[in-house]
Amino acid sequence: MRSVDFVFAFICVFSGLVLVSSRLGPSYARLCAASVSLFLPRASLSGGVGLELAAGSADFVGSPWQVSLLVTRGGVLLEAIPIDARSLCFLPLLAFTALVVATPQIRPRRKLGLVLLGVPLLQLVLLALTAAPVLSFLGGTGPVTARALPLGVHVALQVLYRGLVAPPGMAYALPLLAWWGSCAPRRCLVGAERNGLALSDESRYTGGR
Amino acid sequence: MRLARGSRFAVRYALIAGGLLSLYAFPFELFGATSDPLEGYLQAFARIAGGALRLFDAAVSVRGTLIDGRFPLQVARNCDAAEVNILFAGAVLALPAPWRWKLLRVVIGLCLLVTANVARICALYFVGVYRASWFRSLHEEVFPLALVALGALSFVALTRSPTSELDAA
Repeated sequence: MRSVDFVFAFICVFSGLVLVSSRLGPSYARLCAASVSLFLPRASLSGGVGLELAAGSADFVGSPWQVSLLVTRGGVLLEAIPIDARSLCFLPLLAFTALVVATPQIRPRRKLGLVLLGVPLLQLVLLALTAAPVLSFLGGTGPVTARALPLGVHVALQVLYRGLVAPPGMAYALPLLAWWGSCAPRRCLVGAERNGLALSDESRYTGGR
Repeated sequence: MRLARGSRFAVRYALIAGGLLSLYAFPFELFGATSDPLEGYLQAFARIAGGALRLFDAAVSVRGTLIDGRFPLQVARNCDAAEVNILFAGAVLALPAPWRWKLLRVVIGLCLLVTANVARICALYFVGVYRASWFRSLHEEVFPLALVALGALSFVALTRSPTSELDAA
């Protein structure tokens, strides 16, 4: 019953956050574009390739949550890579927040602290993971090469992207793992041991045999 | 340095799940592969989902990874919810328990998750037929959440007790 209560609480909080934040698309896209722009090189890369992030784009009849990475050379637009900030970044943040808020037996003050610390950290991780395929694309696997990267780096970037970003379930699995690592383990260990599940004692599983 | 019990589980989990995910996500085409090594697996999955759909709609047919019918569906990577299966299996395998105990739970859990995923594909087909405007939201946001939640709940339920009715059976 406790699991059912938690799941119900999570669904309520998550749904409420999604409904309340439905109009935040343009603002959040601008925030993401501004955050990542801090890490973009100011000078042109090899071959005169320039990178710029824009929230939304006049070229796309797309979602208000869209961030576009504009690849230019000599002022001419070569590629416009659309990035959906909602599914890649925003929904995972809401999922993490809802998990923390829905967790029982944690003081509200600690929940607030976890959200205030966890959301920005998770945002940074998600932005870095979202950048992985873009770096690979601009590093030699795409039609435009901004800076050539070694094969090993491409492999690592593609594995990160295909394993942690591309699967739609990862948008919720990553915040679930972050929640587990930040506020669930102590409770779950206590609860698990009460149910006979010891994470360190194999003899518990063999009944002492 | 002796790690805390939760940390030992976390390290084992990261290694197992990370290894399996890396294998699933490996870019073989960067090493000259001209076809997807998982093509056969995806075709088999499409046949299973198509077979289930045919129970409800005789117009459904399967060609390779394409489920054809009133609303065609292409079974691509990630349609098999491999990430959820890997995360679930990795969590069970990382537990300090006898291998028979763990393998039994992995098999049961994966059967449950695969069944749920086939049901998801069937639901997406009929959503595409009757409510196409809902398809994107259900496909990319709602159903992935449901599958991850099911994976987490399956882990909690199947690993609840070390000696349970499953072992007695």
